[in-house]
Amino acid sequence: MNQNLVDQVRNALDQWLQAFNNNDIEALMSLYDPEIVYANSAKPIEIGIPTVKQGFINSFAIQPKVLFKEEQAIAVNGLGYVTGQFKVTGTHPEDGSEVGETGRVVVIFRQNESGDWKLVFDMDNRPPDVNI
Amino acid sequence: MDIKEEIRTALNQWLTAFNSNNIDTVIDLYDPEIVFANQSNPIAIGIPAVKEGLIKSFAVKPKLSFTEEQLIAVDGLGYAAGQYKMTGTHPGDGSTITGKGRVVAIFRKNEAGNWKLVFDMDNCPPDVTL
Repeated sequence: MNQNLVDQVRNALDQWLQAFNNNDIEALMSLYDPEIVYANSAKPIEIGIPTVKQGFINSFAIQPKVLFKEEQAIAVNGLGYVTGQFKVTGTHPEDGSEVGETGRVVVIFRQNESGDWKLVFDMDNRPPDVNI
Repeated sequence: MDIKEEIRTALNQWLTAFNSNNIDTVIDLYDPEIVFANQSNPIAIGIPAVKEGLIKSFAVKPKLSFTEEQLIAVDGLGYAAGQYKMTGTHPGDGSTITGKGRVVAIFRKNEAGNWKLVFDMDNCPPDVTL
């Protein structure tokens, strides 16, 4: 396995986490591949940047922050992924109460013609062993 | 055969082996670093852990069907994502068991040039129609 490529994919994920935690929708969407498929466990599949963007605009209403703990990362030239546990916390926009959830996620990044890694597939679930 | 077709072939081989409930044939298709991130069970890492889970699941003689939603592949790594439907038979009362959801299966090519399943995750969103 090419460790440098794995680190490039990890770096792409770190950029995504930073943009998400800043609730910066434009910075976040610049990290997506045009063919993004977002396979969330609780809602219908979202395909393409405009659909995914609208979903994030809605989710940013709680000013979410996410933590991530890696469990596996593999990459080759052009394609790589990271999987692990996540914890999202936020603030309910009406009553100010804390909201959140935990789960497992896999994010797959594809390298574009400019050499930049872009998020092309994102799936999560809610298994019983998540302890982040 | 182009790389996308190689991934489809690898997945179809896995589906055929799974639907035959042949544990040794299924396990032969896994990468040693397999991570099975099932929605209902703790993560299973490595072939022995995955094999134990499959042996248990074969008690219901499961059959799977799959409909592809996305497939991307490059030399050495590729994946297929889509909807699945599982049917089986309860070993106690003979009743039919069903399940459905969405899955992603990531394959890595080994040094011998064979595609092996290295990551498998599923969930159960509300839009699955299979």
